Amino acid sequence: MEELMKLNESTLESTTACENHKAILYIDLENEKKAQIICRTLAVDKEPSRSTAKRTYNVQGHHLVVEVVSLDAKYLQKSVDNLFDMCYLARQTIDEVTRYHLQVSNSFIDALDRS
Amino acid sequence: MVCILGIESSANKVGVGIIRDGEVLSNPRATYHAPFGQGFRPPETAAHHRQNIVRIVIDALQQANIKDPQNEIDGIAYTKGPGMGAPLQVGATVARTLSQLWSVPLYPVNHCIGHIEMGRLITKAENPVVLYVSGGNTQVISYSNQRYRIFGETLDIAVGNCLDRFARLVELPNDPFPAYNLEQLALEGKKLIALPYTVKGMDLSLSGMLSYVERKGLQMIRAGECTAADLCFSLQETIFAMLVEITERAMAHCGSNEVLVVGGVGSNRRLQTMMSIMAEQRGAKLFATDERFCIDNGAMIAQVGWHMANAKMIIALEECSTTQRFRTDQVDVVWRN
Repeated sequence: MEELMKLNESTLESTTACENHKAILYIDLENEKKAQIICRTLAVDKEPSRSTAKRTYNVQGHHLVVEVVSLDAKYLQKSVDNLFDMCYLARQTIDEVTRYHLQVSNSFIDALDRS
Repeated sequence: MVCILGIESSANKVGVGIIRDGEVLSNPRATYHAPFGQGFRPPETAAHHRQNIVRIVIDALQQANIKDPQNEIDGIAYTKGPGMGAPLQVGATVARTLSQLWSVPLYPVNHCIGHIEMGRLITKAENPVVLYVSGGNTQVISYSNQRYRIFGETLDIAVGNCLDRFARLVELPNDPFPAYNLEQLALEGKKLIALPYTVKGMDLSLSGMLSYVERKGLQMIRAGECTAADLCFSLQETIFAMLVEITERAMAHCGSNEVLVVGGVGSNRRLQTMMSIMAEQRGAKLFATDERFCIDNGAMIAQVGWHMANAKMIIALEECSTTQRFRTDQVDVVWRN
């Protein structure tokens, strides 16, 4: 997985009170279909109620683009950590399940068991 | 023919089950065991589940002899709640991904109802009073008018939580689970220690008892007045008697002659014995499952998904989130009369 991360910490430059800290992540997911699936999967979850972080999801070509803003650097970090964990999990799910095929040895063993 | 894949990940067990028309085709799972002397915490538990869950999905498909998942699986069910936030998110993320990948419907399932429906499927109980006892839940439930109604419950901590925490205090291992090890040690107990008996009508309370055994109990062990085995024995006798009482009260209230025990603590032999004595005296029948289905598993979630599929329920993926609190009686049970 290839990530570019741009992190801004600039209270003086914030345009609103809710954006003291911001991260914009561009995550390359190889193709647009995969990016769309993962975007839709991740967008459902809310941030924990204590968190001041907010996420915005977009897909640009084969990149998932996520903007995370937060009042607090700690919650920004936690949100980004969780985002990568879930993104990696969703990607692993797609890759492994797409590769899935029923192993012949299973069927063979089952046939032996039955006879 | 309806085939559902279910994903369970609300606590320290992560499981994937596949059910087709009442038959459990596969049900692999993995358990996160916290280090000795500790309970499992959400971040470490979620990390364990992330590391194992995709392999378990593959194992479930293999063991069920599924050749073409996209065409053979008719729906995905996952635990929406209740449970720990971070572990729940792991199961939901995989479920949402699979649902899109295979273009099949997604069913958010209540964990407690998963236990009830699996208990009903395995035991063939018709309309039992249900005692649901686990590390996170303690409820007496009876079905009425499209809801699983909660007649009685714990007012503070769950039975399994109480047993697990005491087991840690007397240094019992976390493998396979603390309450199981407490059950084994209790068999060696010989002396009944008087403990607080806190039934409150249809409800019960356990935090006082836990505090009592944590302080007074450990003092007695250090003073040589009793052994850890005696306290484990006494804790089980007192807590299970409380559970039997509130269950019997619900049975009397509902006029029921069936009682079903579900949840991880439901696999406790002593609890089953005490419950069966009460049922026998009432002319009722006790139903219980073994540890394959008592303990959290993916098949129980798949079974509720199977009911939801047959009831033609449709839930948008955008609504398929998770929630740490999800009351049993919040669910509209459209699949029952």
